[in-house]
Amino acid sequence: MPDPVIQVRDIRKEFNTESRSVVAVDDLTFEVAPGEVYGLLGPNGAGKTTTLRMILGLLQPDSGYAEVGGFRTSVDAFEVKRRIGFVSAAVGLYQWLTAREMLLFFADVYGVDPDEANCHVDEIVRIFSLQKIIDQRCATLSTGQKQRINLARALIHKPPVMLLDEPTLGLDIVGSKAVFDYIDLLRDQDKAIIVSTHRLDEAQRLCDRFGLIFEGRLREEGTLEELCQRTGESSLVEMFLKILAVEGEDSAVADILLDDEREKTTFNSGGKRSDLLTGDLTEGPGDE
Amino acid sequence: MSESRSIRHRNSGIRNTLRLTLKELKEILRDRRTILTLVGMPLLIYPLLSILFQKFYFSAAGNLEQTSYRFVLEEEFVDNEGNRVGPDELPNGSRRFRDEELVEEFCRRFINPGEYYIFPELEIEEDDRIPAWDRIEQLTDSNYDPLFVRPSERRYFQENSISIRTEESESLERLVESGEVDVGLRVQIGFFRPRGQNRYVPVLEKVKIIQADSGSSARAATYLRKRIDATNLVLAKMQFPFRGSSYDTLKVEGISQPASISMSSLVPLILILMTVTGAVYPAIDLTAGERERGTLEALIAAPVPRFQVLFAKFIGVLTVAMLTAVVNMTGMFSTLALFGLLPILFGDSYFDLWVIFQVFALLILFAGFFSSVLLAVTSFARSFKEAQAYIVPLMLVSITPGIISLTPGLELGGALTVVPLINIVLLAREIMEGTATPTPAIIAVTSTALYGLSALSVAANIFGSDSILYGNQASWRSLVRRPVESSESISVSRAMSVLAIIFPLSFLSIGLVGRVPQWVASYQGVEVEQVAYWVNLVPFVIATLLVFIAVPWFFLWHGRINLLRAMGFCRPHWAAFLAALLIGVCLWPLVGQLVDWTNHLVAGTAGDSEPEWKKTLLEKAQQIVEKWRTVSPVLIVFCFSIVPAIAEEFFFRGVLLRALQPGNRVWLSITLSALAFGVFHTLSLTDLSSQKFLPSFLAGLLLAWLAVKSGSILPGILLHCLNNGILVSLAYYEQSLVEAGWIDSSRSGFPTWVLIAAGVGLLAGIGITGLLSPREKASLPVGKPDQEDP
Repeated sequence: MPDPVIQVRDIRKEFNTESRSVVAVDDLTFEVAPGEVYGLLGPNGAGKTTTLRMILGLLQPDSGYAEVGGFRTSVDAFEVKRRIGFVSAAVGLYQWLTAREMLLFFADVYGVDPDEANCHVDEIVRIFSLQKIIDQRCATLSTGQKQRINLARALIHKPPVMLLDEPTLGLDIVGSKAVFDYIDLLRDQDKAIIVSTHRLDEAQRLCDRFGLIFEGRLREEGTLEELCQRTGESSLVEMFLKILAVEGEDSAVADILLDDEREKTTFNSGGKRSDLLTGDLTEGPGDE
Repeated sequence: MSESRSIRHRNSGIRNTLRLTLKELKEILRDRRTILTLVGMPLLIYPLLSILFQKFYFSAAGNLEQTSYRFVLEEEFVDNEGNRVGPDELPNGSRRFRDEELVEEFCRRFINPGEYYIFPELEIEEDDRIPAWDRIEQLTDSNYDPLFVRPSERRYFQENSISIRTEESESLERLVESGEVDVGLRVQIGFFRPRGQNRYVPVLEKVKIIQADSGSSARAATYLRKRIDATNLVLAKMQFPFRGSSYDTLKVEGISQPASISMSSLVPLILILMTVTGAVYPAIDLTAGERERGTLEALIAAPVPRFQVLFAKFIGVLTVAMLTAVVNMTGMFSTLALFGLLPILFGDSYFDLWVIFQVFALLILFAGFFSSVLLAVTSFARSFKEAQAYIVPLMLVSITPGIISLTPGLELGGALTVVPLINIVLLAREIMEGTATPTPAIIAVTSTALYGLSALSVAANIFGSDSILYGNQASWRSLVRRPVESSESISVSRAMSVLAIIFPLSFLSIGLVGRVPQWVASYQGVEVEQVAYWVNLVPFVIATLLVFIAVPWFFLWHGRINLLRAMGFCRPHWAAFLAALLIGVCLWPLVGQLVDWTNHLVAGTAGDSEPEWKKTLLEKAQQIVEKWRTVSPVLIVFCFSIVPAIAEEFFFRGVLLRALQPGNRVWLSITLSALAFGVFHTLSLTDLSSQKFLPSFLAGLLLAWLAVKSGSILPGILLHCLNNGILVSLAYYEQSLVEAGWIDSSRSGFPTWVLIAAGVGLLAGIGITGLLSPREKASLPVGKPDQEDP
């Protein structure tokens, strides 16, 4: 196995609000090698996005560290940022710029040579089939088109590391498929990829290795096979429900969820909970 | 590590800021809402305003149409020192003005166009065959209009009435106050003896203009000041052997007419409000708007410093604000011209390109200040709506002082010079009226620039910080919350905030300290002169300690900054103290001599051998030193040497220089700190202290360099103490020194041997300082920096 590009060691982050303090990420440790897709899985509020932000250097960890390509985020923030392509469902586009202008702007910001940037844009236009929309103002694009531009933006500086934060959030089947194809493409390009998602079914299809986090802590880690062997469960959904069940303070809720889920799995009574069957751990899209 | 440095360097250039700015401008200028404010507003507002003004003009036409003024003159004789003398004390052989002659002379020179006036831009051909006097006459005899008389101004010269105050009538002040006359003139007449003649010739030395705070009186006074300036200009240009005249203005309360709001204060206010309007939308859109749309996270995730991103936004907002101002200015003037209101509303001042340039420069400064304040506020907001909610009160807050500044008779001076917005509007008004004076102007401009800088650094601290980007519970409290961890360096933004607070504070404290003896006197029921001098000293010491130590120290404490490490309190090499000793002892005569030379140079170009300010300065200094001698010299040295040395070194070299050092080149941080040091020393309620700038700046350079080289502020304190102490002691013991023959009071400047010795000492001190190995590495913090950009 090649040397890991992303290394996260005992990283911890606590948020202090007016009334209480919340440990968002608690001593998390994992690593990702080139060509590997690592699924950072957990329900909303589990600490996935916070972890990604700390890897990217947008948030400073309270303790521990993250390294990308041998550079520590807290020391060489710019070196780290240069090596990362960041895709998030929450990231928008510049409404008044054309797609091309925006891609070139980001190429410039990442220090890509202007001639090279033009080549990159041409290449990206080809890969993502953006010919018709590349010279349109971003405000005029549809959601799916915007998402494609967003995926393209993250690749404009050809980073060796990709961080995808809930990349399919709010997308329809066509949009989601574009994301899957995108991740396959990134894997082919030998990039180290972290996908954070709460869509366990998607993750199961996409990722090579999984880190199951809950309440900031890494509960299980490994390939699907390893996890199945260790937990005795056959799917990521089952594994998660098991984690919820053994949790102390939320155990009552988890028990209900678990019982409820088993019942539904068995009897498949449909209704609101049915999306759990497809692996969605939450009731709807939301931010962490 | 080295690679990372190179990338950081590549990312921190002007090019980077430029491309960021370009993107911001593209975005904001394509936005329909920007275009609406930019073009729509002027198209709508100015025709409306013009109609309003037209109505106003026709209803109040009488007031504006006044073309003649009533002046009353009073003569006053002065000797060569400027002291008033009675008619019987006039020098032998001098001739008195007859009253009619005085009026005639005055009319010809100042009130109505006479034969002395020519166009200043008119080149006078060099022709030695014709004497200068005849040449002026030749020119004015021809068909040229007299100086500054443009067609629009003719109305001023129609029927000005001038009379002499008679013995029976009331004083000039009363005459002006009652509105019987527009302006009273106390004309000082001196006598000078032309070379080779025994006879003394009367000359107009100085005109004291007594004006009321009514519109017509102000206009009459402005007119008169312009005429005097113009005459002096012509005389200087012609090298005419007639001395120029200076003027003073004395304002009395007027009861004649209610003063009207002048256009010269309305114009800056309108422009400022328009600039504000132009800046608001882009400021919100480029900060809170960008965050709301989610583009900010992508930008912050890129390898660009946050400050650069913010600075590009600042330039974007500033550009739109200035564009709005320019479009508005053009819109306003063209609409007014279209309605034929220009000459009525502005008289002559709007044609003056220099005035327009100055007002425009002020507008840029103001737009910069306001843009940074807006960015500081909108950076804090997490959504467009939240930003709008913050902006509304801000707009109200900024309109209020704007309206206050419309108050007739309000002058830029005292505490008003440091009140944001009011100071700029008042300064713009005074520039348009031609009554601006340098010292308040410098203070107003400097304080506004400082406020802008500190607002920008606050904005940089907030903008894109994780609590704003991601915090759900971010509040204003998080802005003022003390950081959890201590840091070992001072951030530039923190230093800027301190600077922005202590600048006005220092100015206000000077004013307050000056008042204390008056309060004590009224409390004790005695005259101010009878109050013991230590009453002046105690508040001075308290103010100095408060401004330069207590306030900065509070900020450092609040930021949990390790005082000793951050300020470089380490034990410097003994040679640093030797250097400080040498420089401290030898600096003052050289700086004094340098200032003397500069003054001679300035006076030489102005054609004046003994400038008025210098006399006044010396007189004032003498008065102060007289008071010093009423208390112990130890106390004087303590108050004016030891306390300022410790306090000023603490702030300027300890806090400011230390904060500037990390991101900047050494010479730049030294120069910037010395500039601040120089500007602070010009702060004074009187208008004489601008002379202090150069020596303070030079001393600031040396002190900062010494602090950098020695890695400590202690040698600087020694140098500062010695320099101040010697100067203070010399002044204190001047009489004894003169009596002992140490000082030759008849000579100005220093004996050559003193200068040479001081020069050698100074060079030795500088040499030793240069040889000191920079200790900054040893003393520079290695721990966590104060909250700042990566």
